[in-house]
Amino acid sequence: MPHFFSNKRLIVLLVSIIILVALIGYSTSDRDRLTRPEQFMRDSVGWIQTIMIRPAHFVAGLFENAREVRFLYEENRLLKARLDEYAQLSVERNLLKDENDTFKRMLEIEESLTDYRMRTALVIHRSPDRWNQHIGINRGSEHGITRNMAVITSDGLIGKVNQVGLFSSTVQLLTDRDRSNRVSAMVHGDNPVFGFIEGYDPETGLLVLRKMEIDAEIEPDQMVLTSGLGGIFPRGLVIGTIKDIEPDEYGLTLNAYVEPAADFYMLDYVIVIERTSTTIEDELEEGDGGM
Amino acid sequence: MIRLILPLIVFLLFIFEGTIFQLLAPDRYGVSLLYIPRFMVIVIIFISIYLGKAQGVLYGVVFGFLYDVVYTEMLGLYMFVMGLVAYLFALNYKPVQRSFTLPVLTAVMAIVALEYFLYGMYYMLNVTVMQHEAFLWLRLYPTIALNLLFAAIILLPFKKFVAYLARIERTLEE
Repeated sequence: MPHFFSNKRLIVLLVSIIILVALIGYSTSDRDRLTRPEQFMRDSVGWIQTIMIRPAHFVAGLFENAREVRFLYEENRLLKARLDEYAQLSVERNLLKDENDTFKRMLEIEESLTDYRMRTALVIHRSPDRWNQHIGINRGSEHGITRNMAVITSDGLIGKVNQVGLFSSTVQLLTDRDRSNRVSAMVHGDNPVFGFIEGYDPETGLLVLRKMEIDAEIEPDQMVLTSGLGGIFPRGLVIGTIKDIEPDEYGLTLNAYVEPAADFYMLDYVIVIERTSTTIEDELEEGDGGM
Repeated sequence: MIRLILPLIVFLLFIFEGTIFQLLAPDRYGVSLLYIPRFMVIVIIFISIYLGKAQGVLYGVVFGFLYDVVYTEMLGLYMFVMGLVAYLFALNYKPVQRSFTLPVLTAVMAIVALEYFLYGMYYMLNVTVMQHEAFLWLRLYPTIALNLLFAAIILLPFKKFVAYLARIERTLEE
């Protein structure tokens, strides 16, 4: 190959490297929304993905059912035992809810951090190169989804809505390594301890809860919930349980390792949570990754 | 009409990698090795080898851009690297086209080049902190195995399809 890189080709190569660097710079600058053509491409592809994934789910479901049949008897017995417990709990819950409503009315509290509205969505894709941890869902701004809403499964929090199109959006999972990917969380207990979920250790599969007060009293197996103090998530979504506690690099705050309650891989259907209590004014939360 | 079949196949592979493959992906069932499907890249390399460099690069850039927009949110990376490998690995010589192992090996080499390029870029951009050793064992080797298998399966049907396309074109010209 004598003329492998002739002058013309060299120029083309250089120009494409310049375009590459420009595009990377453009997309790494914290963009609030996608451009129109991007939204259009995503929505059209999302529509086709929705068509393709439904039959695939059906077939995959058949295999999974066949596998599960073996455990049905055992599971059924266990669940029956739980059922009595459940009836008792639900009566207790209703009583407490009534009582709580009465108190709230007496105190004239109209909204609380725990209020939210739920929307279910179908997972239509997951980025196949595992460098980033994003999934696509088939709900977009037409269905009332906006950026930074919390996304959960029936087990617990999995992430937040990242980019929104008209009929599809992407969700950034908690396992994604991105510096703006943090959630304000609290350790549930008599004296709640507040911190931030920041980062994920792929080797152990644990989330890292940072910036807790150094003299906080935390024990393993305590529940970690969203605190609702970030202004976007509601309070009380389950994140996981504490596994291990240690001081941070400088010995000023505590770090805890949290075993996530949700499975970040078996994602078929997810629930998008919209907080109904007042959120911070738009100008105040500007430039913040959302918590 | 017949010209649309090839883009449609590549597009279906593009969709397949993100949706149906993800329902079968081993890490869904607790395997820590990452098998990354690069089926679209394999077909694009075959296009470069059998239908010419220009077509391969065109497919690489267009579908790379689609990949960027839909799956990664980091624009430009796949567009650049897929165009580049389609250009560099376009070995459209008769001995390569006739053999079975050479096109398959070329496709696998292209995937290795692509994975290394992306690893380097993402490492520089601080998207990943994966060490090189872990990258090799957890990601590169399983990915090579998966895609080698796919390339070996798809090569003969692809050659038949290209021959069929050429035959149709010839009858249309007459």
